[in-house]
Amino acid sequence: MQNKTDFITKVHQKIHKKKRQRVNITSIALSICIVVSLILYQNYSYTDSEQFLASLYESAQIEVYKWEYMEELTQEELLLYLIDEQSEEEFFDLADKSNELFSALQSVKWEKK
Amino acid sequence: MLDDKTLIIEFLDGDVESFNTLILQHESLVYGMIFQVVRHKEDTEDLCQDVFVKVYFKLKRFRFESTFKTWLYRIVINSINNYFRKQKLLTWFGQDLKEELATKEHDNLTKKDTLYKMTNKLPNKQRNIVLLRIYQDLPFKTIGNILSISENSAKVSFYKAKENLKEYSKISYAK
Repeated sequence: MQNKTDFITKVHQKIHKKKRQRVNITSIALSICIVVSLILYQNYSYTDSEQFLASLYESAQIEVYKWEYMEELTQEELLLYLIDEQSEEEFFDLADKSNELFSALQSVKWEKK
Repeated sequence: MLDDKTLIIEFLDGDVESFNTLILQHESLVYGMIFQVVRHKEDTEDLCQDVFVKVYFKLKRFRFESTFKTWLYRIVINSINNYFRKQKLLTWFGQDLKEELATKEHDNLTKKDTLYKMTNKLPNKQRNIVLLRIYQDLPFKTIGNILSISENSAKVSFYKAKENLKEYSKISYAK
């Protein structure tokens, strides 16, 4: 009888162990699913943000290119810019120092209005 | 002695004691059946416990289409097959050691032991049939039901098993 009781106890121990194993396996599987879905979600949002940054960078680059490819000012334009934007003192100061500006000034045909 | 069906229904209703009674009622049958082929006390006990663990988890799916005993035989047969599959794998890894032990053991074997050893060498299907036919003395129809094969197929496989056993015994005695 003792043997029979022992046998039943051992069977129940094994059943208990198997149940615990099943719970563990389910937990591990669930954890893996959660981690995988989190990684996938993160990748997705990262791609989104990356795309957003890329578009910003692209527009910024376009701006840079505009500056880079802007046609050079002609001497006359440069002079007009200086007349409009700079103070008189600065203008003469610059004209003294810059040969370019000096030659530009010489090339202008001054007319009386 | 309560009948299996009542015990199963009570167990499925949550009465664990009924499951224990079911174990007690069939333990000796399962143990005997396994020991006849495994011939190792500890392994037999372990396998026997595993069989009832399987019964515990699979009983929910038992539809009473066959008797509980037939269903139990099927589980026992599967467990024995798995056991031998594992043994085969272990043999692959420890071939030399096994051979050495086998040579030492060979001289001490009785005729009965030799027959059990030869039965273990048979292919799975034939071994199952020998186990159920010779050791359990079941009719071919029941064997067919247990192994999900026809009665005739069981008879043919049994004949082939006998032929193989004869062949093995010739080799064994020639040694």
